[in-house]
Amino acid sequence: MLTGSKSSFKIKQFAPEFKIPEKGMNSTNRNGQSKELYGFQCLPGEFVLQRAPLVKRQDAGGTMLKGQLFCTTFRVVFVPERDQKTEADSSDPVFLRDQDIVLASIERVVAGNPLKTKIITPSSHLKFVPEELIIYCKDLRIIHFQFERMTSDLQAIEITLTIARTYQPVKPGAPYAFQKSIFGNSEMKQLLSNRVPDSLMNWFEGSQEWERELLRTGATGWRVSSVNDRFEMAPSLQKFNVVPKQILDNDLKKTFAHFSDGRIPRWCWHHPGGSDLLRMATFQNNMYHEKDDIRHLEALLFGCHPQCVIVDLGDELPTPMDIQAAHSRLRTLCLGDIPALVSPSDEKWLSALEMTKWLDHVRSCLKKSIEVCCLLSDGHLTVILQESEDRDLSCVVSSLVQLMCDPHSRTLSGFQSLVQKEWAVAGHRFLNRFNYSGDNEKEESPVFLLFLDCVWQLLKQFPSYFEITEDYLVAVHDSTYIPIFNTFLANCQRERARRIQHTSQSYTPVNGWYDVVNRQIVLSSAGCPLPSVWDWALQCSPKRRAQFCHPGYTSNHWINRCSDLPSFHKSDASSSSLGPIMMFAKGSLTTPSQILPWRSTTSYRWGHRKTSSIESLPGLDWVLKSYKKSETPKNIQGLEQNPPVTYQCESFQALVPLLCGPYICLWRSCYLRGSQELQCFLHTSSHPCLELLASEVDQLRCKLEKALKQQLTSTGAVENCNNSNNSETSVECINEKIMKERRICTDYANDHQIISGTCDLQHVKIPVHQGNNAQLFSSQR
Amino acid sequence: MRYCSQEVLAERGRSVLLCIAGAAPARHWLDSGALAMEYIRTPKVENVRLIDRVSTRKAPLGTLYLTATHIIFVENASEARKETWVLYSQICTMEKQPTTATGCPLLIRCKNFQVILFIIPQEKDCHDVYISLIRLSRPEKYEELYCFSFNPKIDKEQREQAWNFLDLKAEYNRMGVPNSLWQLTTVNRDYGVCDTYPTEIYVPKSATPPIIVGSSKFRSRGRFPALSYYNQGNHASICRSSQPLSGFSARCLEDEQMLQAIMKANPGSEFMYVVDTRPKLNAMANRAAGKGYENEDNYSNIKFQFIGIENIHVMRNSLQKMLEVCELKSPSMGDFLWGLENSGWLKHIKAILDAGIFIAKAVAEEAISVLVHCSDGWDRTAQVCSVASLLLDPFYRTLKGFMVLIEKDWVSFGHKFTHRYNHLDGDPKEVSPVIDQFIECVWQLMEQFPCAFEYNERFLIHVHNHIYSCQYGNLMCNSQKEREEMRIRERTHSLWAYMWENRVDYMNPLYRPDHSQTQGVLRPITTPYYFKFWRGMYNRFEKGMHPRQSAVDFLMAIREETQQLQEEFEAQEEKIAKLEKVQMKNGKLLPKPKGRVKHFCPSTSDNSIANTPQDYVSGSVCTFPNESPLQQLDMENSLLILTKETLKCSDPDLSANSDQESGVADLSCRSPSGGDSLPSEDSVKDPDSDEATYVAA
Repeated sequence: MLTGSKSSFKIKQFAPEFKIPEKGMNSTNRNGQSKELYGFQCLPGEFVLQRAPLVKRQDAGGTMLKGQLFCTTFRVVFVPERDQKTEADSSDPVFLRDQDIVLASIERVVAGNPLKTKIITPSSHLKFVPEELIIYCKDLRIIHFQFERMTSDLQAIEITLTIARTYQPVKPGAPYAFQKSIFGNSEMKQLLSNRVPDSLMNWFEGSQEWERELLRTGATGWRVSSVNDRFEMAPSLQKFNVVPKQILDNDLKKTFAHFSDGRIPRWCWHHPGGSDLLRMATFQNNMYHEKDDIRHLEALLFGCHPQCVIVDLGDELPTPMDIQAAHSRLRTLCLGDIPALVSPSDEKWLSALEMTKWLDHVRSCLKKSIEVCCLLSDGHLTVILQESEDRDLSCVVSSLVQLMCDPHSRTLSGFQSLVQKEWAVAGHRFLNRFNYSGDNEKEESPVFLLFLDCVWQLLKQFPSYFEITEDYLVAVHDSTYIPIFNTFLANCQRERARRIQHTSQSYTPVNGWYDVVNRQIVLSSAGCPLPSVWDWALQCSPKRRAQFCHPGYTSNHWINRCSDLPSFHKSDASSSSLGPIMMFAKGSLTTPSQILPWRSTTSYRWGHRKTSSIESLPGLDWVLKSYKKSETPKNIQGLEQNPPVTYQCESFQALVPLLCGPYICLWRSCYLRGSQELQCFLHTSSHPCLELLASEVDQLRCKLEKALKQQLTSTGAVENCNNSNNSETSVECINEKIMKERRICTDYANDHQIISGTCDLQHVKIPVHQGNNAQLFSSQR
Repeated sequence: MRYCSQEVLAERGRSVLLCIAGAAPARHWLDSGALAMEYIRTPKVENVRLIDRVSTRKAPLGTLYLTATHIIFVENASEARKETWVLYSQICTMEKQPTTATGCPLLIRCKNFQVILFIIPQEKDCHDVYISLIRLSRPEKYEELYCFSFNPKIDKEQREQAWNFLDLKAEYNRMGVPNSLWQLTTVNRDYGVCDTYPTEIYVPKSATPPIIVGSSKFRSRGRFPALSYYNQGNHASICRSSQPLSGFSARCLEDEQMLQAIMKANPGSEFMYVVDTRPKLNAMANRAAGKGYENEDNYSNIKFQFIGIENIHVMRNSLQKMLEVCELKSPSMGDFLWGLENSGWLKHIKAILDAGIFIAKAVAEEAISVLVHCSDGWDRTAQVCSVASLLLDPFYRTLKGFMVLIEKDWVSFGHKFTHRYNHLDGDPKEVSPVIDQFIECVWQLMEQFPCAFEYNERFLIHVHNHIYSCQYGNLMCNSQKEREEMRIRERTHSLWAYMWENRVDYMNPLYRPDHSQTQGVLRPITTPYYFKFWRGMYNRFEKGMHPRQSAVDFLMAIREETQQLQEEFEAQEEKIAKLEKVQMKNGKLLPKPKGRVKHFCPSTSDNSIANTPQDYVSGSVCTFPNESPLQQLDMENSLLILTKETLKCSDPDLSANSDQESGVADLSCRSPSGGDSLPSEDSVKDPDSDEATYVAA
């Protein structure tokens, strides 16, 4: 299966259409073979292009690991020598082993020997024998391989060139070779169609899933409309939209035209205090507003509340272009000047970090989200996020708001559902923003990565409120660079649906094609079902997946509470007492006259409360005023403890992060992974200690159960033994403590990136009943 | 976070306050107190507002008292009566701001980075307070300092014991000196050779008194090379001195012999390092003043090295700049990062750490002795020597070891505490955060090696606090000699013994003495992005700025609680064992339980569940005895009862924890209760029902 002739020093230039050497390959037994042959399992349709034995990889901790290096049509695989026996053969083919490098995620290939380093491009020739191969990945990993003296020069050269020539598509915009060969493979299709979607997650693809969300959050007065069922009303919008009950589909249809791209105000979340969060695009100008239309539009805006605040996401947040610029500066800072090794100039590290503006952007997103949280906490408002396209920063803000306020979204399945709801289904242009094909730099912007960073900041400040861990966020971060996921390879639900339907063009949307740019990829992979990114079993080993959940997180204390919450308002939006529509921008509420385009053109009169000013909202006013008084958000935190509204429910207090200088930090374990020093210092970090903790806990749990029984048998037998209660009590208490302790340990360990094994904390013991632990942390607030 | 001053003052009792609150002057005050009272123009101002920079809470109204030693602000809000105590010695600067409609603002900046803004309604009162505080915060004589009036009510004997808590002689013995290569010299017995050195100094055996005296005459202020740290393993040592008076060409035979002797005291080594911690330019400038640095040509077998730590003036300004950044009301990310970088503070910390690493490497890896000096050898030299010792020797990473380190490298070798930390009204140019930087270096190391230090951040903060508080005598005066003249040991109390008593508060729950990282030499990384801003120190009084989840505090509290509960658990087990005995004797076993007892009999003796954490560590992780599989039925039974109990018992427990701040304190003062002290109500009420469940099952 090895290609390239062994006699010549230069290997042949690969043909643009990468020819896969299929000579005599029997696809049925290939997997087994490759496993035996190479020590790893090829995917259906994946082929080894080149291999080099006796390669060393720098391992975490700085030690060198010996093994074989492979380059396949899909990835670069390193198989350590001693590793070959392991990996219990599961029937699930894992797409990626934990250290594999997907070709498409490679940013640059650098070959070097003591005298020379050179960036190897697909067209370059190697005039020296490399001793070292450095692969810079887009996800900011830097991986070093060393060729031993025993590796033949030829092999070293060939594998280097092979990687260099295959890691990017032949021409910008062309699909990757593997996309067709692997995902077009019938075996793979079969395999993917057998994958069962995570039932814990809400995928927001069907109407009942939206119903479920309405039920979960306890929102009333809303219904799921299927008017956009065939994406005819708004091609970029989701199939099912949640709108106020009193608007009929017929009336609803007329409202689409009033919003840019038909992205009407639609419900996304219900705050337990009563308010609702909506999002929409900007109003379509130059429309003639009929009186009836206006009525419906306003009904849409007000939703179920007599008051409505539009939050403008334009001015104070970075634009996607800003984000892209900041991110590329951050990359340069963290990766260093390729191929020079990472060395942010010593003196100027902080100012260089500042210059990237990345942290500023993180901060402004968090700040805006906090403000929205404040508005929502008022309890009787409709808060509408408005962005010109409603496909970028409104995704960030609406999901951050939910992370801050809704404990469910901090669980693993909740977080994934959240991303489904606010990003994938809502039509964030993942495909364009990540620019996988590399042909659309104008649109490229890692808005989603900015969001992940914001989540990390929250996680860092409130570790015990999250079920997801830093490892999980890093995994999500990395997976965005692997162009095989359905989730990221589409710009909206419509595109995704098309791929699944296997139909190339069964209907033409009324409004015409909107996303023409990416037709190529969409079409080329049409008919190939792609996996969802949330199917973690495909890309992560069980070992790695075990790190995704915080071992100490308990969620049961709140889940059922949503519906129990008293609803604070049950007002009929149809009543005529609608308040003014307010605009929230730059930290203050205003009622500008030009908010609604139709207002100036129509004689429509507001309800009798037209003149009411902000004072009609004493609570809200207070929140905002005190917020303004000192811009630091901690004040809000203080306020949250005594909310102005009568409503108070402990478990729904928002997590309000601190935004002052020292608290917004760089996500080092993600962005600085590449730095060598960090790699040896931190990469092993929390993993072994978490594993160790988990195993300890299991052992101790067994012991505890046994000990308890022992006591019961002995004490229970005694006729008059009041003590039994005591002993159980104490055992229970110990458990409680231990559980808490363990959680804190892991937080602390994560926080400090403790090196392997340091965290086998002596005092970590037995968790059995987790019920009340969460209260400890919620009561801190 | 507890305020140190409050903590300590609690010992004095509240009588002081009550006395003043009752408007009766505190006559029975100690001498120094009486001294202080003279300067108090107005002992009490009412209707003062205390403005918290970061809190939006309505500024509390209260009464301001000036006592002999503290400013005390008592809030009027009746139920809480929250008090804020500030020691005069902590006051760094004061600023009377322009009068506004609400009153006259008085801004007080403290040395421990607290910033307080009082709004005093009357201009005259404000002025009086201001004038009083100016005098009170700048005492002119040692006698006015707090430590001479501080009386924690312990008898003379205890006080002496406390002073003997640390013994430097024992410390040198621990290092392995005196030995065949190093000896104790008596040359400075009466401070005749060097008045800023201690009396007991270790020098190479071959350095005879004439050599020492000769060398001292060639060194600035007579601070001749003396032993600071001796590495028993390979005989390499760290010595310290001041700069030589070499000027452009002067040389001194004895000094050269002295260095030769130090090198020779490390048999097998062919050279030694002489480390000048100053930037080269500064050292060159000193040559013009007849000082300077060693000429490699004159000394045989030395390797000379500049390190480039800036002088005290640069450091003072740097801290000032950083504090300005901290005080910004709502800095943008850019303000903060630029400000932090422009202050250069982290760069200076890095320089000190780098110097320490250089020396530690030379001693541990190359086995080469090092002589360290700066100008006078009491600031940068102390920093660098102590950082190097800390990196080299795990002992200094223990609580007691750290105290010893401060005593050895700072106190005994004449670090000028009084001048540097402005204890007395003096030259502001002498003030500089020298030891602050050392403490921050330790903190940065703790961040990199969380398991290597026995003490925690709070310990460092409290030590820092006491450097400025003047409450204890240890960190006072400019030299050993001065301390003796002031009879510090007789007239004041020792900090270390006090901190040792409270060591529970200062333990790092993650400390692992047996961990590979903990043992041996620490090799920190000093890439710039490893240096963090220490918000726990510089923003420590801004509660609003503290994260809501302090892992360490919880870890400590829970650890303690776990221990208590385990004790209870053990007590319970003993009881059960007793009961079982009785049961056996009576032979009155119910048929069913009998079977069970039998079944579990072999494992009854194994009470490993109650292992203390320590036991657990000593054994390896996986040494749990193999348990026999459990019977399903039994398991269900036990769980049934268990869940019931959980609901009952855990609630009171958690409520005790409800407040983050007080929760921790609560736990630490809760005494370990015996087995009988558990909530008895439940246990009285429930046995029947429990048993019923049990029997039913």
